[in-house]
This record gives sequence, C-alpha cells and structure tokens, in this order.
Amino acid sequence: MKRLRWTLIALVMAALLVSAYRIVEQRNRSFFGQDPSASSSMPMH
Amino acid sequence: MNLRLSFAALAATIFFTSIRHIYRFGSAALLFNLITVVLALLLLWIRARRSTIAAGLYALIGAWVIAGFGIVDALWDGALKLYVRYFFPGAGIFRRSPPRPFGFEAAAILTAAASLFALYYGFRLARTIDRRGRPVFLAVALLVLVGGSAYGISRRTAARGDGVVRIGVIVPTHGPQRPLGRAFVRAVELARDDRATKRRYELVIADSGTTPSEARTAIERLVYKDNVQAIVGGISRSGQIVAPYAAAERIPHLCVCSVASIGDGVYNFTNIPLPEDEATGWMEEAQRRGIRRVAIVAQNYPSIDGHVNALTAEAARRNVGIVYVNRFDATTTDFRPIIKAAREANPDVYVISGFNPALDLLGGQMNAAGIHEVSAVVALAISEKKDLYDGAWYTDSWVDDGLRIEFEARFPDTPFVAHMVPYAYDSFNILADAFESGQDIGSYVRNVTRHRGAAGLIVRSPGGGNFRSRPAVWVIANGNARIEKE
Repeated sequence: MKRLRWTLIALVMAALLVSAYRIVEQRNRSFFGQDPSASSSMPMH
Repeated sequence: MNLRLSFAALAATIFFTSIRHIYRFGSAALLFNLITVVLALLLLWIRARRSTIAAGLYALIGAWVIAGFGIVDALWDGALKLYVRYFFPGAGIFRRSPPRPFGFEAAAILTAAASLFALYYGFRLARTIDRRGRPVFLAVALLVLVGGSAYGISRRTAARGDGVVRIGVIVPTHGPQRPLGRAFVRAVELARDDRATKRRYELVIADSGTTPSEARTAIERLVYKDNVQAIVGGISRSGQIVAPYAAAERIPHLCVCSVASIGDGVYNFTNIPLPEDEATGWMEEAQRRGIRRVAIVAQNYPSIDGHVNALTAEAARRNVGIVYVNRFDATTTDFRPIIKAAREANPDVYVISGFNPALDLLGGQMNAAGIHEVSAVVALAISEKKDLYDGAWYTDSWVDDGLRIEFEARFPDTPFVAHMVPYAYDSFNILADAFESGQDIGSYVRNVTRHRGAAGLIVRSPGGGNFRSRPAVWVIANGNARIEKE
C-alpha cells in the first residue's frame, strides 16, 4: 500500500514536471521565436 | 519517525528553494541551505533534552519556510501560476511575470511538493507532542503559517484596479530615431490632455532604445513592473519585440509600425500606411509628374526595406523603370561614389531614404553634386535640414491642420513629425474609446474597423491586423514642408 502511494506520488510529480517543461518551452518560443540567444532581460529579483 | 520525516521534508523544501533562488541571486542562494544545519542542530537538541524551546524554534522556522517559500513563493507564485495562467489565461488572479527558464519553474514545483509534505509531517509531529509541551510556540508557529501565507498570497495576487488606466508608450527616445520618438510621446500626451474622459489615464513612457535588448528591457518593465493595461508604440524594429509580449499577456498594442506582420489582428495592430499604400500613393504622383526612370538610394533598415520592396513591385506593375538601387549602412558617410553611379543610370528622380545622420549627409552631398530631383517615401519628413531639399516632393501622412498648430504651439522645442504624430494621437484615442466604453478592451479594439481622427480616415478589414490609410503628397519649399495634395 505504501509502495503504491509513493509510486503514485512519483508519477504525479513526473507528469507535473513534463507538462511544466512543455508549457515553458511553448511560452518561451512565443516570446523569443527560434532565436536561442534572445532571452528575458528583466532581473529576476 | 515523524520528527525525521518532518526534517527531511523541510530540508528538501529548503534545498529546492535554494535552487530556485539561484536564478534570482546566483550561487549565493545555496547559502540558504545553512537553515537546514540550524534545523538539524535543533533536532539534536530536542532529542537530547526534549527541550520545549528547541521544539518551539523548530516549529517557528518550519512554519516560516513552509509559508514563505513553500506555499507563497513556490506553490502560489510558481506552480499554480504556471498552470492556471496556461489553462485559464483570462483568470486574472496572478501577477504577470516575465518568461523564465524551465529550471526555475521545475524548482517551484519540487519546492511546493516538498513543503506540502513538510506541512503534513509537521502537523503529525505536533499531534504527537504531549499537551503540556504544546505551549504558545505552536500557536505562534500556526499563526506564522496561516498569517504569513495569507499575507504573501495577497501580495502576489493581481492588483485590483484603482480606476486609473495605465497606458504604456514605447518608442526609441534616444539614438537616430529620437526625433520620431519624442514627437510620438508628445502626440500621445496631447491626445490624453485633449480628451475629456470618465477615467483617469496615466501614461508610462519607456525608451525602446537602439538595440533589441534595450527594447526587451523596456517592454518587460512596462508589462511586468508597471502593469500597463494597453500599449501604444512606434518604430517597427521595436514593435517586433513588443508584439509577442502583448499577445502573451493579452494586452492591446497599437503600433505605429509599417511592418504589416506585427499586426496579428488579436492583440497587435499596426496604425500607419502599409508600404504598399505608400508605394501606390508615390507611384500615382510620380506618373502624374511624368517620371519613367527611378533611382533608389536607401539605408538598410526593416521599415525602409518594406518601402523599397513595395516601390519596386509597384513600379513593375506600372511599367516604371527602377534603374538603380543602392542600400547603404547607417554608418556610411561618403556617398559620392553612390551618387556618381546613380547619376550614370540617368534617372528622372532619386528616391532617398534613411535616418540621420546618414540621411542629411546624403542630401548634402547630392545637393553639392547639383542633384535636385529628389523624392522620398516619408524619409524627408525627418530631415533636420529641409533646406537641402528645396523643390523635393515626398509622400507622407495626411495631417489635420488643427492638430499640427496645437502641437507646435504646445511643444515648440519638438519638431512635428507628420509620420508619427497623427497616428500616435489616433492610437491613443482608439484605446481610450475602448476603456471609456466599459467593454472588454481587446474585443472593443478588434471590432474597430473605421476611425476618423487626426490622420483622416483609417480603416481596417475585419480580422486584419493593420489600420490603413492613404498618404498625402508633400513638397518642400524654403526649407519647410507642406501638403501639396491630399
């Protein structure tokens, strides 16, 4: 039971990370096009 | 067991938070893991002495980490923001944030998950402590957890409207395009001041500079820091960088830009004659003047490329010969070889285009070579030495005389630029119409297909991204430009 619970948690986390990757990739492509050298210039703090 | 699991979850929360903060503060963020060392020492203290003070401190630090970094920063402002803004873009709950790398967002998801475990094991741990050992400390920790989370979330939620409409104005106000940019800003200020409105409008000016990175910095400040609700901008090179931000953040953007592709018809709209409109107007006048052979000497620049290409295409349609073309760089100072080569092609007129200083250097050297058959699409409007071009003609925007007189009276230090001022003025008014209507701003602008304003009648085909208008013919006499023909 415990193993099943942790397996489920791991799967959910993997799904979240994969979907986040796709969202970020899609979003950043819409901002910067195909130019990998372009990036956000705003300081992060 | 609960103590160990609670510690492990807190340590993971701190670790992932430090990774997330590397993107903000660099590798110094790893020092945040020292808190884990403090927690470990408290853990040893609790085990050795069953100290209430140690347990209380552990609870307080834990509550701070979970609330501040787990719930507020990672869960609310990281993971939830990412997903909710993607799946429900119109929700308007979260503050806008600039595009970030995947590692930053992934660290938020991991931090949020670890902090939820830390919360769960924290509660289990609190329940196992003897009632007499659950003094004020735990109540304070609970207060930090709940109060801190609520406060943090309220600080990171989209600001509620204060009745003031913030409109971003983004143009280059230094560098070669400074005359255009300054006139643009003045025009928008004039439009705002001329209009009686129900709402108050605040203009936030941003200088898009001379490079893509300066433009990016400027638009990010407008969108993410100043939280503008609409944008008026000018100059295609800057508009090309602004447009994706406007689309991604769903902000209407009216751009006095001649590159048609900037207007997507959804959030981005151009408002100036397209190159083909300019070319048609110019060729009609050229043919009226009996011109059959044309030489083009023009700077390399996106909006000028558009004019040159459109003129070439229109000339082919009308059987007018383009007998010479030279595209020069902005840094060119000696135009004599170019002028000589152009003259050898024996054109009826020389179409010149560029920004200063190159434009007036070219004009001066043509004048010195005895060439006076000069024309342009717009470019002569921004000359700072119009006396070099006496007798020249060019096409440019039609301008309401009243606006011109008002502008020159109010801003005597700012040259009136016909190619910017009426469109900037009208663009502000289209946006103000939208805000005053009380309707959804984006939908309102998408439904505007005609507007009669300072640039005359401008029209847009339904669904199109370009407001279009017909240029007028201008002539230069005694160093002054005036409309010869509408």
